[in-house]
Amino acid sequence: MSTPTEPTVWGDLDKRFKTDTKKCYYCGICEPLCPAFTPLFKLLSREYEEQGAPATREEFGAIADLCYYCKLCLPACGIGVNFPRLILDYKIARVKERGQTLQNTLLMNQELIGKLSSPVAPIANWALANGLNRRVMEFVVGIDHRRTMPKIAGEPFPRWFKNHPPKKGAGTRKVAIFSGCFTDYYDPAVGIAAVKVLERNGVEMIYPQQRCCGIPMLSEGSLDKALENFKANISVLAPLAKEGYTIVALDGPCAMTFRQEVPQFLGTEDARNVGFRVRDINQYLSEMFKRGELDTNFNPVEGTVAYHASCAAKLQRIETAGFDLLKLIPGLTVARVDKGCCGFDGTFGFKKQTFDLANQVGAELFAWVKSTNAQEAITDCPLCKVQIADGAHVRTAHPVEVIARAYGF
Amino acid sequence: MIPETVRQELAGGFAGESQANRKYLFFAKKAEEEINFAPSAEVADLLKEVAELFRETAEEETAHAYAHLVAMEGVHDTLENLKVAFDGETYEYTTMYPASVQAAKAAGREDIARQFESTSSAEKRHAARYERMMQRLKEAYARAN
Repeated sequence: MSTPTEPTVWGDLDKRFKTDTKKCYYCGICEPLCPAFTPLFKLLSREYEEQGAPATREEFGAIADLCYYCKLCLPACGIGVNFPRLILDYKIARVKERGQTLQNTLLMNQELIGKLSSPVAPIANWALANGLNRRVMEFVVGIDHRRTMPKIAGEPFPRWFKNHPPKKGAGTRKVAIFSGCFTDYYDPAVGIAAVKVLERNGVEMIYPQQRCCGIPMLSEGSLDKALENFKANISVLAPLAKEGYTIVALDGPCAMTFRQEVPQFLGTEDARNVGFRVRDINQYLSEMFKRGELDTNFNPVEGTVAYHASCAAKLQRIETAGFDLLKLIPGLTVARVDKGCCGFDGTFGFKKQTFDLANQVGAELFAWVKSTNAQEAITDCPLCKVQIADGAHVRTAHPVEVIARAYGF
Repeated sequence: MIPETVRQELAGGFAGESQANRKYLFFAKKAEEEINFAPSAEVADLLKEVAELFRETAEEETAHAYAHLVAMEGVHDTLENLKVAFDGETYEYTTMYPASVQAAKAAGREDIARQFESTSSAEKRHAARYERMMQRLKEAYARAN
C-alpha cells in the first residue's frame, strides 16, 4: 500500500520552498531589498542553527504575504533562485485550495469597481473620503483608513477617447493604446496627456477593446482570473500586432506584464508576438527621440521635479526613459533617484496589515523626494504616484503629463 | 615544492579564471533577462545563443581555475579544506566586512553598507555551518578508527 499523496495543488512546492530558501539563507544578499527576507532568515535559523523543526507550510505562508511581487530580487540573484515565482506559486496553490480572501478579491478588481462607480463618482468619492465609512471599510475588508483613496473619475478614459477621436496621422506610426484600468477609471489625465502628446507627433491611434492587464489578479495568486484577462487581451492585440501596430502601454506595470508575464504564462506565439510589440509610453517616446522623430519644441518650464522609476520600469531596463524625456524640457531641473521600491506594490499599500510596512519600505524615497524641494514627483506607475503623494506630501505626475504641459496643452 | 614566482602566477591565473567564470555567468543571466524584452523573435533567439555561449565558456574557465588551484597545491584533504573554508569565512565576517561597512558608511553609501552587512551575516552562517560539519566529520573518523 502506498501512502496517500498530498493534494496536487501543492505539487513539489514544499520541496522547492525548502531548497530555494536554504540558498537564500546562506547567501543573504537580498536582505536589504524587501521586508520578507529578515523574517524568513529568522524562521530558517530554527532549523539551520538550532537544529530545530523545519519551517511549516503555514509559516512560509506568513513570509509569502510579505512579498509584494516587485521582483527586484530577481535581477539581484546570482544563484538562480526565482524567489518571486516561488512565492507566486505558493499563493496560487493557496488560492486553489482555499479560495481568494475578500480583501484581495476587492483590491484586485479595481477595474470593476471603477466601472461600476464612475457613473456615481461624486457619491463614491465622498464615501471613500468619509472617516466613518473608512473605519467600516477597514473593519470589513481591511483597507487601511489612513490611505488616501484614488479618486474615481466621472469621465473614464475610454469614454473620453470615444468623445475625442484623435486626428488622423500620416499613417507611418500606428499605435494601439493600452491605457490600463488605473488610468481608465482613476487617473484619466495620464491618458488624455498621452493622446495629446502622440497626436502632436503625428502618431495615429486606436483604442482597442481591453481589460485590466491581469497583474493585480496574478500577484495575489488568482491565476484563473489573470489568465482570463491575459487571453482576452491577447485575442484582441495579436491581430493588431500582426498589422504592424505598436501597443503603447501608459502604465509601467501593464507594459511589464505584457512583456514578461503574459508570454510566460500563456506560452503562445501570439502572446510572444504581442510582447515584442508592446512599449511603455516613455520608452516609445524616447525611441522616437533617438530616431530624431520627436517634436522637441517645448515651452520652458521653470522649477524642479523629482524623478522615480517604478520597479516595472527597472525590470524592463527602461528606468531612464522618463528621465531622459523630462531632461529635454528647457528650464526644468530633474533630480533622479534610485531608492528602490516605493513600497505600494499593487495591494500591499492598501492593506491594514501591511500599510505601515509599505511606508517603511518607501521611507528612504520619501525623505529623498523632500530633500530635493521638488514641486512635483514624477513616476511612470500610478500606484507609486499615490504612495509618494501620501508619503512625501507632494504633487505627483506621470512624465507624459509634464511633456503635455511643456507642449502647452 | 612550487617556486614562489610560479605560485604567484598560478594564484593570479586562478583569480582571473574564477572571476571570468562568475562574470560570464552573470553576462549569460543578463542576456536571458533581455530575452523578455527583445524587440523581435530574431533578437530573442540570438540572445538565447549568446547566453549559451557565455555559459559554455564559463564552464571552461572553471576547468582552468581548477587546474591552477590544484597546481598551486590549494586543494587538500577534506578536513583541512573545511578548516581553510572556516578560516576564510571567519576572516570575512570578523575583519574584512566590518571594515567594508565602515568605509561605505564614511562615503555616505548606506545602501552599500547594508549590502556588506547582509553579506557579512551570511558569512557568519557559512562559518558556523563549516564548523559543525568539521566537527561531525572528525567524530566520524574517530569512531571509524
